[in-house]
Amino acid sequence: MMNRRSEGAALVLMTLVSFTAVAACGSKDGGSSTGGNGNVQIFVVPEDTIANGLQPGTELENVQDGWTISYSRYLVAVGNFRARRSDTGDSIGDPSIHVLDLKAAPTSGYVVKELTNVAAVRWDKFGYDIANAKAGATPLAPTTQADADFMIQNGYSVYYEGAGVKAGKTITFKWGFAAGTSFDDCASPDGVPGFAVPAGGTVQVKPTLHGDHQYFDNITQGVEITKRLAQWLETCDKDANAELTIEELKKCDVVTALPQPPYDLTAVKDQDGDGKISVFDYVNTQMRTFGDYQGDGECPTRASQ
Amino acid sequence: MKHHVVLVRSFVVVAGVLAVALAGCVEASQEAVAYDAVAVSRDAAKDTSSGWIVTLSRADVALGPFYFCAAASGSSTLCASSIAEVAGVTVVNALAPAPSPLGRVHGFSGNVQSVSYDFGISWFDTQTAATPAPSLPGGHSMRLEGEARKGAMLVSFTADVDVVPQYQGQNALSTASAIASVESSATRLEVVLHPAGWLRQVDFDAIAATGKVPFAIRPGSAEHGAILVGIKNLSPLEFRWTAAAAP
Amino acid sequence: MKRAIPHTFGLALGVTAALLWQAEALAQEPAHEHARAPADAPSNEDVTPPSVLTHVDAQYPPSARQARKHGDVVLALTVDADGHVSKVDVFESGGADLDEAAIVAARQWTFVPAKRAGKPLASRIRVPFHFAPPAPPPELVAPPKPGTEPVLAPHVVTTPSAEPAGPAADGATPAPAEVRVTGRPNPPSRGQSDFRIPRTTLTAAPHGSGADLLATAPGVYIAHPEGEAIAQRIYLRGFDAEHGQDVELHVAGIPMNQPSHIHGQGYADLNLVIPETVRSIRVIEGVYDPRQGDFAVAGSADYDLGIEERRSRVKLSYGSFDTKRMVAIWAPEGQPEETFGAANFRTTDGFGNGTRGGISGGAVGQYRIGLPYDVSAILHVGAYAARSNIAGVVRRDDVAAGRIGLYDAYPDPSARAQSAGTSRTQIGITIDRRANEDGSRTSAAMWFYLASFRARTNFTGYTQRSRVQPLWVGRGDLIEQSNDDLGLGGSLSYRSGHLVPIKPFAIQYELGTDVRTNRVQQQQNLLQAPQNETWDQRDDADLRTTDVGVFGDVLVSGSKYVKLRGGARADLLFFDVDDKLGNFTPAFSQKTHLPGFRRTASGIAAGPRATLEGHPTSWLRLSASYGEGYRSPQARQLEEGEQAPFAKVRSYEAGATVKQGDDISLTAIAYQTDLSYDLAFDPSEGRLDRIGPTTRRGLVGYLLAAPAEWMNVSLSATYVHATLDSPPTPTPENPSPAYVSGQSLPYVPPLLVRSDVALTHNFGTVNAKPLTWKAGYGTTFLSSRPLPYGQTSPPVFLLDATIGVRRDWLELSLDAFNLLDARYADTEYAFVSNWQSGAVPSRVPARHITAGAPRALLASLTLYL
Repeated sequence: MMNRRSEGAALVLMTLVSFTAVAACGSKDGGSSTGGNGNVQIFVVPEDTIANGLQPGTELENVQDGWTISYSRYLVAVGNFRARRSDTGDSIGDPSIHVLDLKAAPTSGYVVKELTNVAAVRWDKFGYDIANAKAGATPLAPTTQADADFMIQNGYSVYYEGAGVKAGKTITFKWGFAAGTSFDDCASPDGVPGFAVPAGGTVQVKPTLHGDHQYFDNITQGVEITKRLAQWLETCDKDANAELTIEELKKCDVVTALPQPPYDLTAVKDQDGDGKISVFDYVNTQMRTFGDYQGDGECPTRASQ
Repeated sequence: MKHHVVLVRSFVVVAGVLAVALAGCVEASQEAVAYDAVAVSRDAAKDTSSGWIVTLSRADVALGPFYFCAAASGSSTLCASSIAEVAGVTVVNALAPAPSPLGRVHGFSGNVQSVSYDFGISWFDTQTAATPAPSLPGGHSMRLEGEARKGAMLVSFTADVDVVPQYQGQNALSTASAIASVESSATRLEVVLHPAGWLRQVDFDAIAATGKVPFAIRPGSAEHGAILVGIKNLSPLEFRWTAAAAP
Repeated sequence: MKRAIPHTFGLALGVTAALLWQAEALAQEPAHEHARAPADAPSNEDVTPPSVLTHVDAQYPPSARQARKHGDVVLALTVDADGHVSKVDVFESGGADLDEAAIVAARQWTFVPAKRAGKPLASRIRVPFHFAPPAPPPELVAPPKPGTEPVLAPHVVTTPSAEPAGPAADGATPAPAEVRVTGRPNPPSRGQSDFRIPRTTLTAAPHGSGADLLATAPGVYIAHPEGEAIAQRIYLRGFDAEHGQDVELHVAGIPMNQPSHIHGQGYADLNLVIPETVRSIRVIEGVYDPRQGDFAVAGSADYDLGIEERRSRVKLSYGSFDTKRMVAIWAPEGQPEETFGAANFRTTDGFGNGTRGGISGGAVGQYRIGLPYDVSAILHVGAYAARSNIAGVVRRDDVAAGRIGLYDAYPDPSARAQSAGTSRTQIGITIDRRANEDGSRTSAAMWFYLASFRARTNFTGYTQRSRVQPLWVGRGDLIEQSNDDLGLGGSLSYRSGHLVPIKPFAIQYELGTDVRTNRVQQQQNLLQAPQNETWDQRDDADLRTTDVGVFGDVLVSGSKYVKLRGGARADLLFFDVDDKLGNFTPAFSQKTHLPGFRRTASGIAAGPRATLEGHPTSWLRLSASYGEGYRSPQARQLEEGEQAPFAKVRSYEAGATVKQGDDISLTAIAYQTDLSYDLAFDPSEGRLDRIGPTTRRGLVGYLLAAPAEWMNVSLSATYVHATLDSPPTPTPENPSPAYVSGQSLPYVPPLLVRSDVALTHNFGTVNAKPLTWKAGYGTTFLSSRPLPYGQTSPPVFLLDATIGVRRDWLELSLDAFNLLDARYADTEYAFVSNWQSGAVPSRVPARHITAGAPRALLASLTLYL
């Protein structure tokens, strides 16, 4: 009897121990059992419209009213890249802001940040800022320190110089905007949020900056359905000196420059606080929407800074 | 045989007890709610930024449908599923002192962040063109009549306004801010209109210069575009949720 | 997930341990080999079975000779420790006269008794007798022929040739030698939730399809929301397994789940199974067997095919809604049960005025052959094709307002254009080499299938916008999905003999591997009815997936009362996705590259599985089990190099079975399943979205009884409390999802009660031949199901019944499905739809349902050849 008892006891004890061990092992979340870490490479890419401008034409991606747009200088202050996992709440990121010269960008874009030793899972909440440049914002080669100082001095989030040409007529512009905005919940064009880090590998994360939103006929919400129009460049140049200044934009009434239809001015805010909606308000609002992800993926949660 | 009977009996009893016990055992985080919506007007007169004082004598406004969204943007491509809606169009006298009924809000409890709506002219997914609802005054979103005064100058005007969606499947105002946390059906939605503010961007100086009395503002004109700016950007509808007696 | 041992499990383990402690002290008699009731089938790996020493042929009774009666009798013999038959029970009757003849013969047999470690002991074995008229003496199922014996399944009675008391070497003497008694596969039990559903339960109530047979297992509800050609929807123990995402399904050893299927992960079409060919189904609810692989999250089900009555037959049926069915079965005498052929054609108009018509048909054939070197093989060939119309969903508010009837489909052209066509052809071969003297054996299998799927469904009406051309909107959400799947795989396993490394522990281990590889081509488009013009492309992908699984399984017994059976399994999954629409340039953007995005990903999932079993007395069996399983992700949702994120599951159970002889057994189980993330169907995308970790806890009671010899009862009740453990992942569309701790998972019925009752009686004669009457019914009760937004669906009670009479070669029967004509919703959903029911479309999620079938009658005529 005693033998059997101790036999049974030993067996039960052995089982208890093995079950404890077994219950505690295995990964708790939905990840693969092997775990592991990888790297994240964040690089900022300007859209084709910044490098090559916009062409007139009748295709959906062309400017419909005959204007050719080109940029000679394009500076942005971008940074505060951040990613978070919804399942555990872990977050990674880097708060620094960088000033980038998008016209001089290498073809593969600016490698802004490399994060190493990141858990090899999906980080589904990715976001970044196009921020008003402040002291501490650093340029990334080949952006010059002078460019960075210029942005910081004026507190701009984006500054560009370029020209619109139609039928021999040229209108030049040099505009800077303090339109700092945070972009969150970025998802690829297929709707997959964030990014997945491979174990022992590198994932490339590509915030993409568009260069044509000020020529849209609405403020984009979600999918971009728009005609590109630029006639307001001429309409707002009231003194007809072939140069369009910010002051002229502020005085340019949308009622005449951006007729509705075809324009839809929903979500344009009175950015300069003058009690009227001007083309400046329109362009400034558009300058808060041009941060995208992995090409044409959207970052729908935006907040002005 | 007795064994069998006892076993089966006890089995049936347990099953029965469980079935009874489970009747009320459901926990839910969201529930269906329905409550009234009313249109409330504020201040029939307001200064325009160029110094004109606008007073309205008539403002028949078609309101609806309204789709409320939990997402930050209410646009139909970013918010396919609404948390609440007023699925109908009501024409209200926007100058009436008392709140005008706007229909019922149907939806679920939870947080609201944005709204997407029309002024009676909708371009639903399945419609080939923007279509006014049958009840609209003259087929227009609103009919405004009034006068603007600056010093000795007086301009009287009428306006037929069409607030039209830009694309098929979109609302005229594809997104606007509306913040609330709705707990139950003991709620009331107030849609606050400030109709005189819709004329803030209208260039009355230019209208006065034309000398036409009354000046008729029609869809497609620059002044009509100015009124649209007033409706969408300068004096948009506000949405307030207040507690009310449960229906 | 932070607890080391969950409360319930620890409690169960403690109770089990306490009971075993007591049992040790009370044990008086030597251990019995346990009676084989249908719900449990313990293995005999720790004993040498008895072997026939002398046998006497059963005499074909003269009374039956006149009737030219075929019959099967299965006897349960108790062989005592000195080799004599001490007790004979009739396990399955073939009629009083045949039973008597078999009993008379069996009583005279003598055996070499069963032994454990050389010591003889009493045992109990099952011996089937097949009686076939007239002249040849009654044969045992496989007549002895030296050198060509078929190989045996583990529990079989056999004479190992090394046994000294065994037969003479030459095969000329007919007795006592090589008596083979073949039987069905009988793998070791994995706890109380390892249900073996026998044929008596499967044939009690009428079942429309092979999938409906699963409803006889405790806790299973089968729905058919998408017509005849699309696979069933399975609910198992609180899991909505959709078309198979949470249940690993095998038919004759061939896996049915199709990985990364576009209609649903793990889509498994059981329509290939012809109900008349199913011999038994093994349903494991929980993940406790190291052989369970991908998709075994709620559990697994294995269909075992075989025809017991060796008589060919043709069955013609006609019934409600112009349903016509023909089944032909070929089951030659003298051949094992696994050898048969069956073909099945069916046409119907379906209920609901011309919205659910369908044509389907298929064939299944198996052949069991004996090969040299003690090897036997079963060759399986099956094919099935179906095409049907789909009525789709209706909104509850439209039904309540009278705008549409419950059984109708919207008259809209996009709703009426819904249809599906599917086909599947499969070939498999299973090879077994019989067990050696030390009990070791090897087995191998190989299979191959081709499956095609094309379906058009529209759940949401008119809500979608084209991605390719965003100006196109409102053309109807008729989603066309196509999936072509070529699957190839096999398995290999080796089981060792009994080893005794340290007394008193005896060990037997098994190692095995199974591999599967699939080539899938899938597309998803939006079509505009009525000419099916494509107005959007959503998916176009070629997938290559490979799954290599390795498992090890160990049986440790240190005591005659307690066994520990368990092991571990690891799977390597590899994915290669050629996403032809990836990186596509939207309409209003400049084209800077060519569309297409190809990527590869892989992952490894591993987990232990174990069962601790105790037999303190002959009538009580206790067990506790634990296992970790997984489900693979949808391939096209993986990114380049992403570590395949598996849905991981942990299941725990503790249970007890009480038996009273062979007549009655009652099982009680407490279980818990934790799932790392669950998937829910999104009708607007036509795909599954993650909804976060879930827990299901519950109790199961299962009663199997044969209160009289003409009556068989199976009754089960499953209670489940399913909760969402953490808030759903916030998305931009729903940034702060409402969540209450412990909120119930919607759509899961808390209580599911199923009963199957079969009655058989001989009554009356016609032309001196007896009439056998059969009646049976099955009832399903689903309690009120919680729905999203605090609503509940009404409870459902369904009754299916059958009655029939047979005289020798002619059988008439009448089946009634939903005899009480309950009006109920087969499946409930909540989502946004626009079916143009009102002037202003609604964008608030609303309840939608697919209607459950109204009463249907089916009259059948069967001719036995």
